[in-house]
Amino acid sequence: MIRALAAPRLLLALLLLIIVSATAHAEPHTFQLTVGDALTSVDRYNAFLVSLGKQIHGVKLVPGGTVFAHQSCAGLGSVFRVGSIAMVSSPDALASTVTSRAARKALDTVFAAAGVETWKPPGLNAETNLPFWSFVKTDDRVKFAADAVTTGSGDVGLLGPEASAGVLRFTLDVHGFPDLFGRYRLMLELYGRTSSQDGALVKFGESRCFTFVDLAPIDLPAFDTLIHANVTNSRLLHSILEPRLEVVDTALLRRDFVRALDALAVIVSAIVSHAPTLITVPKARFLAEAGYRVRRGVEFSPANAQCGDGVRQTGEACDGNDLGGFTCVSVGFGSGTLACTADCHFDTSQCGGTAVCGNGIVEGTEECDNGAANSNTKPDACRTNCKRAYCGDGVIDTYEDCEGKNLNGETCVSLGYTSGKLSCDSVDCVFNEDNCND
Amino acid sequence: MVLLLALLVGLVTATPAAATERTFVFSRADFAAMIDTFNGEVLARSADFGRQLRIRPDGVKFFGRSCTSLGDGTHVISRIRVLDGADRAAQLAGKRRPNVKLGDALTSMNVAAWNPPTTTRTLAPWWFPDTSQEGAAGFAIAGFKNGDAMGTINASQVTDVIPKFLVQLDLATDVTDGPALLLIGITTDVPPSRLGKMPKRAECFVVAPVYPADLQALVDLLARTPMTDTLRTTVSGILDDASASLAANDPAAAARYAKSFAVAVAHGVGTDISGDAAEKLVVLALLVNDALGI
Repeated sequence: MIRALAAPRLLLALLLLIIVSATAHAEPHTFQLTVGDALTSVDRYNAFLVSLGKQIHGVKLVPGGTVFAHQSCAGLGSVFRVGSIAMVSSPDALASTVTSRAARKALDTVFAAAGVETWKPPGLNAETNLPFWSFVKTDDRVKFAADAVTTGSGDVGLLGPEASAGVLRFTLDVHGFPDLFGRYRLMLELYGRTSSQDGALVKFGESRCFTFVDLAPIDLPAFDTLIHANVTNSRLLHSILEPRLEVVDTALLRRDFVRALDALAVIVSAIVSHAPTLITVPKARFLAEAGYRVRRGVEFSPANAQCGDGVRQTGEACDGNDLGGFTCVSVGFGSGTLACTADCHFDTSQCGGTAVCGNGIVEGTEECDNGAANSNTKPDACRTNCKRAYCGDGVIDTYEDCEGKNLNGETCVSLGYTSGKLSCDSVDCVFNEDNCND
Repeated sequence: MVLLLALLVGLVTATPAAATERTFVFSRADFAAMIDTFNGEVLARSADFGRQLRIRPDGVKFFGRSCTSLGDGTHVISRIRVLDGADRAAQLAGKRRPNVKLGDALTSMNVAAWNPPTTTRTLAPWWFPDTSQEGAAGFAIAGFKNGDAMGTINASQVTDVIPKFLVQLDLATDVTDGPALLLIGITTDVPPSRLGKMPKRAECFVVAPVYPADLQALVDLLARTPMTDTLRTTVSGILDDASASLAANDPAAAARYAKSFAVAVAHGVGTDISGDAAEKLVVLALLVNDALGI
């Protein structure tokens, strides 16, 4: 009898395991939310509430916005200065601030209709460049708040629209998948407060509401995914973009931000210069925006980041003796002592085992090293300067049309034009057919 | 004498800015999002509109006109028209007499006025330029008159961001830094319950901030973007070539120059221009490239 019951139970457990593992997809992504994004989300949320029509009841118009489920952000940013902004992990987390069961149910309906993403707490790497704002640790939110809210120090840090460019940066383990534009819909909790008179904490009005915002991650893996989803031309993808993405990845791992930014600039240039031949112009525009977003992420530095204070922070490879655990070996050298420069970049001058190009080991700033197989004449080979095959190395590689004046025997006529002068694009080694005549 | 001089200076500065033809492009996604964006904007400004703004099922009622969201899944867009000013909206919104209050409210929102002639072009299948109404430049689906819904824009098209609609307007006041606040009439249909009947139709008037997508916009943005002199000289030269091509009635060549502009700016990031500044120029140049192809 027990055995007869055990088999279906085992099957059920297995099925449950499959379902759980299929739905528990979670991936860490880093986001940057601006104060402007948060303020704009209020208007959008109000319009969304109204668009739900008869699906919800009780949306009321008040001066400056709406009230729904006892929540209102009417006048946030103007009458009420922003005091805190939090990313909420899921609608379940509403329970800690929304005490009315009916209000929670109503908000659940709204956020289910909006399709907000859930994420697994805790949020990581929470930083901001807003002065007088800090990260407040909570169980189910990534919360940033002004000193006025955290320490009750008058109006210090309360924000209006003038602070729209201020950035909140955080990493979340998001479940689910992004939309077509690579964005995740995240739930926000906004809190605003009127100013207290003369900075003295007296009686003040408050405003609190939940909204949502569509945010695209700023991390390299997210950009990599967008590139692979949008670039279908194999030459552009495999020969031009993928090697550069690897360079950015390696540089970021080694906290070599200068090199990472250089490689990012090359990626965006390559995408733009190949439109519309190898990628459509709208897709190039979209990917250029994504590339610049990653760049902003690399360039971000929090309000408290001060090169020279001895504490390594975002945007700094190191600070004084704080090398973040990096050594000469971890930044690509064989041995030696890693140090930090006055402007918070790694000083590798005392690193030994300097890269030897041709020894078959990728070291230092080498992009590749295949030992004796390094060649300056073979297509696609690692070059003898230990750089990957690149446009301008004099060899027509697999995904190149031409190199300099070597047009691989092609002319305008052989490409189907009636006449004209074919040339080679010096940046990406593709034919420039601008001077060919139809 | 001083008074006379002051009067003269006053007269000179009071002269309206020279009219300029500007180009605006739209995607289906732009149109699909316009009603909700406008509703969000007026709800935030509800204190300004008093009882003339109300929440209605699936939308808002703004000075007697319902702007219903496409989010309900039944409303679709069958016609779009950019109006030449608030008075035109008042005239079109009124039954026997103009809806003056709507006109006043839209005037207070600083909508852009323009003068004829206009140019409208579209690459969207089933859509055609519609200039049947005086003072309106826009587009309608091919079956607008007989109620054939083929080609209508619905909520799901918020992902279709490829610019396919172009409007050129002779703006009464030029924009150099920021969007033009275009007054747009959006006609929404609810499909009929019975075959052969006309859809239930309504026109809602929204104010949409739209940035011009033309060579002039690039010139203006370039002028206020910090960069090295070397890069500025290079890209200014490219823009001159683009303008010359356009003047020679060769938009395809102008489009290629717009792309070359984007490439030159993108190449200069880190050395000649910051990433943030470059992003705006690159994105606009590619949009202009698209616009020149419509």
